[in-house]
Amino acid sequence: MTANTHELTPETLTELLERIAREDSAALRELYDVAAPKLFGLALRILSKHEWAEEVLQDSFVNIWRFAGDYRRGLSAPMTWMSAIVRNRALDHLRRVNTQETEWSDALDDLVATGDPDPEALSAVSLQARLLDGCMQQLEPAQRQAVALAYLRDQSHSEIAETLTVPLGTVKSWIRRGLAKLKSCLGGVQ
Amino acid sequence: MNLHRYPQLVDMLAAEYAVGTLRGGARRRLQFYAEHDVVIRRSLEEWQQRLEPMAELVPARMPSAAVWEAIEQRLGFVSARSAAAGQQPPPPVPSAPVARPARNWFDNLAFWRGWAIGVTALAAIALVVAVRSLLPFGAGPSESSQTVAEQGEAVVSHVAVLNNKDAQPVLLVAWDEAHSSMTLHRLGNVQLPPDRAMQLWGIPASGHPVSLGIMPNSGNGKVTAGQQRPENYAALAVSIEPPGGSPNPDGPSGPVVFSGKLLPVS
Repeated sequence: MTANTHELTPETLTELLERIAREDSAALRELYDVAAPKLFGLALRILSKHEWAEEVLQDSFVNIWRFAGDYRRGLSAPMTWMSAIVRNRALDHLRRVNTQETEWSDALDDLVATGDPDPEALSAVSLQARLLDGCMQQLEPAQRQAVALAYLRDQSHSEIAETLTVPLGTVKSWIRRGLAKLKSCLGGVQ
Repeated sequence: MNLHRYPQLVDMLAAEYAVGTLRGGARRRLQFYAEHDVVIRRSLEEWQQRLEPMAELVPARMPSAAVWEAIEQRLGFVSARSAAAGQQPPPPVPSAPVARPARNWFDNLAFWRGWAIGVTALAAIALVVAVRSLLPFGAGPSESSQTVAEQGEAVVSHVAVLNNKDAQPVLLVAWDEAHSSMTLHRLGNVQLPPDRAMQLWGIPASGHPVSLGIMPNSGNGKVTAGQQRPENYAALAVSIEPPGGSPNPDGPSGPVVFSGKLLPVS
């Protein structure tokens, strides 16, 4: 099936969010059609459990409906704005269920592709995400994993050390070096 | 401590703050400084902006259809939508007990099949004749890279005429089992909303609809049948979907606009 990704352009998404801010329910459906798979993927990565991720996705779209009026173009790309909502809901959920479960190692492999990025998949994300992806690829795999676990799963140094079964000091230096490398790769924020 | 004398330290603390590993008292202190110091605040915001797009790099996955239904319920769209539907003219034969399709009517196979019965046996005979006259002109010259010679002679094994809701025939599908392809001919007006795609579905005698692919927007052209076999389907249907097709692999996500029985030619 040919994935037509042009609906995920920031322009289209911004227009949809503006319509949603005017309480246009059809626009929410359109937004759901184009953005839900991406956002669900994110929720699933953070939560691992299907039911939890679906609950969070549902919550997130209710929030998107309520807060679309607060979205400011220029401040962040629409996909980034929505991803932040999903991530926050997911982390909140994770804290509430207070889980120590980690079915994460497989997910890490395809989290930030170590192989060729799928050009079609990447065209669906914002320019900033593509730049970040390029820079994440330049990190050592271990650094990349540690940074991704910290950011996406909101794990502490010691939780990451446990997940990756390495000493705490190693995790700290992976993250520091990873972040430093990211900064020199990404440069200043535009 | 005057943090401004240690810009690299500030930057690293801001980075650890944004990535989430700066915790407890250290996190609260940096937050406090950031609230009172524009340089530290900017450093924090820059790091947040650098890392935020990471959430987008996660591969997409399909949520189940129940998620959207739950969202609709929570936001009260369901009642609003049926009220709006009630206002739409014309209400057809108000005396007849018109069964409004269930909210998730596209999940309801009986609804699909009931609709497909519209094609009568007589129509089917007319159809076979029509197929013979239409096929040599097949897909338009630009719509397939293969020439007619390369394709070999098309052998139509099954056909379906898909009607719209007003029972007007709009689409003819000729299934060539030998070449695993379907040729589509537009018979009537096909109106596709901008930025939408038409998805062709096979409706089996039992079980959920199976996607047969995305149709050309014009309604004319070829769709590859791949491993799909026409014997497995009692009817075909077309739904309006987001580009790339229904996010639900087991059925349409958008309205079903055309449907018709799939009949063997011989």
